[in-house]
Amino acid sequence: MKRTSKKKDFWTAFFFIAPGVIFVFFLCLYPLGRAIWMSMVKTTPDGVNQFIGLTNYKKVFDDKLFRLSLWHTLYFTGISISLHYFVGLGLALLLDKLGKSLKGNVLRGFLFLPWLFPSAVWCVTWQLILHPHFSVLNELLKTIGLGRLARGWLTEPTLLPLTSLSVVNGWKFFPFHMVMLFATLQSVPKELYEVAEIDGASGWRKFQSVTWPFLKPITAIVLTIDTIGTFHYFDLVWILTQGGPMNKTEVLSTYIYRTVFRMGFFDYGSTLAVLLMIILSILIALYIRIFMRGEFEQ
Amino acid sequence: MKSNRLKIVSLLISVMMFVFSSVAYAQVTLTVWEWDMNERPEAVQAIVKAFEEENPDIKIKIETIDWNSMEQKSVLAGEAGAMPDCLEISPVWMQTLAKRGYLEDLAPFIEKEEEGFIEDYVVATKDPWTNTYSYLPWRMNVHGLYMVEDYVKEAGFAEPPKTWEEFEEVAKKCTVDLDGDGKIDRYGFVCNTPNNNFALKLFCSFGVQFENPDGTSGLASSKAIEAMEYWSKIEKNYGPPEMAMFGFKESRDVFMSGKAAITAEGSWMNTILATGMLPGLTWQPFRTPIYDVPTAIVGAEMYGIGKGTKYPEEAWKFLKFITGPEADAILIKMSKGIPGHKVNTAIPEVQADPLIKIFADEVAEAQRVEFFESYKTWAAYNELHPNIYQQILYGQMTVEEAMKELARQIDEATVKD
Repeated sequence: MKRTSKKKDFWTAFFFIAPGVIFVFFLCLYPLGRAIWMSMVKTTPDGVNQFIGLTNYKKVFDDKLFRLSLWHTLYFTGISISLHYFVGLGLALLLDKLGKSLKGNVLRGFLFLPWLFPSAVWCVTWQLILHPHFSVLNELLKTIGLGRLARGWLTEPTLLPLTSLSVVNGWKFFPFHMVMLFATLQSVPKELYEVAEIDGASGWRKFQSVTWPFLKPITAIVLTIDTIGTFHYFDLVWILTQGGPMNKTEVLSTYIYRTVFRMGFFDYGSTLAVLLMIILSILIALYIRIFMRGEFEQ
Repeated sequence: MKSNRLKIVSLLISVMMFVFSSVAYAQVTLTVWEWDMNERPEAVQAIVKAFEEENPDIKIKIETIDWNSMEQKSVLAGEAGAMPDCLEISPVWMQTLAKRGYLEDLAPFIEKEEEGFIEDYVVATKDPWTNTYSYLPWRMNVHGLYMVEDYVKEAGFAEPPKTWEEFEEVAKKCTVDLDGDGKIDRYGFVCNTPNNNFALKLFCSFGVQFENPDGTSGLASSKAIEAMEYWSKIEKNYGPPEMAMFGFKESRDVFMSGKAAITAEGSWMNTILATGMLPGLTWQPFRTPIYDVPTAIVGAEMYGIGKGTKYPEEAWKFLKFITGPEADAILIKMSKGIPGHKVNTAIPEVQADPLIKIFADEVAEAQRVEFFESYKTWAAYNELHPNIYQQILYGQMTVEEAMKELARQIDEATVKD
């Protein structure tokens, strides 16, 4: 009797899980397998794929543009995520302090706006703000007497264009962090703060001992999601600079796009995509190790 | 009696169903991907209507896809074996589609056509990778130079420049500080660097061979270096300082707001300038200055048949029609197109409209007509040149070093495949 019930449970579970497994297989595993296979072939001009093993991977080590775009990707991701997190955290703490007052509600709605804009709209807006010739930002600086700070935000052959792109990206996605952290802050029992105050804890001490332990798990989650998204973010860079000037804003996603779609090198492009996935997996593993170690131990 | 009537009605219904179903069965529906419905819907609709009237057994189902998405969508469809029956293709990615085998070979269809069929197209070329016809041109364009007439006249020139020396002189005189604050307010020239129409004009005019006979890039030649020396002189001295990063949008913003006297683009600007130019400024296209021989650069969008179509004959009929002289004439009449068929150069609309005639004449009278996108090294050039040109403008490389490096990179990228 028990055995029949177990068997029934198995099939019930199987039928519930099967659609998900099939879905994951066709939408994730099959494309991944195909990308790995493509990275190990060479396509001849007549369209035949010849297996060449790891030759494409060896080629990557000599590829200066790959190294450059990897460094740019790390730089872009580092600055963007720092901005997302710290601006989001600061504002979440502010909103938490304001509570459910009218001021807090209005501010929350207002701060959420950047995230709601479609990519094309906000990219065009920033295109105008940072326009190489008619920059709104430069005009504003000149108007307030800071004309000496006016720069070619997207045109100087330095790290400035990439930094500008990171700041624009920071502006777009900080609300995601803000909302997640704010929601977590709402769940911190207020009594803990009262106890800390009785113990004479300073503001920083309260944050360190009461707030942070609650924020830590959500921090790991938002940073992981954000790293995945920012690491292969494409729209902003492509629309504003297309990787220029002089490849100063070339990131891995634009380099892969160029290699596959513009140059038609599916094989080498797949190699780059597989490497991007490996690098990203390492980063995610590091995050989990740093932030979630305590959680696993518990 | 009642039963007989019922039988007759049933019989009639059956006959009608049979007739209608066989009509429906006989009609083939072709799926066509394109992006022109966004820009010139009347002309596209008129062409499709004319085709359907001529071919009542074929129905055209247009699927309009934005230009920016079309490249990805067609490459992915090709890879998945899900190409439409016919599709519009940009020269930017036409070679990728052909060499990946996503397009039907058109040669067997062309062979069945009358003699002179292919010769009537101005820019019909074989794909350099497949060495066969994989696409045919539609909506031809000619690269052109445009000037603000008022500025050129103000600078003391009654006519557009006819030689490159004159061109430099005009650009120089039109670069002016209007308010005397020591800063340039109006530039002699503006152009986009990443899609460099001006550099191509110079290559063509200075007699540069884009490819050497052995298939390697010809851009390290002394003529190419000379052309680029001229290019960098004009861009550095008479263009806005940020021009190294100007795309089409930025370059047009500057020209159409009256901040520059001359720009290099193409015949497609006729319609854009007609509505976008700062009111009060008069503008006109002018012919490419002559170096040694009159030259012209032509371009076109393409149409191809998706690999694996169920209706190859019908798809060919449509492709032949939409790229043919009749559709070309509709484009000329309804959207100020440039004749893509030699037979159409004589039609009254071409001769009557100076904005069309100037380009049609330039092509007809040119001793050298180039369609750069048809070269095997084009895709690599198109991707690699912005970075190299920026290196020249930012002073990171001399022109000679840059052109040698560009040729080396192009060869490496072309051979890599």
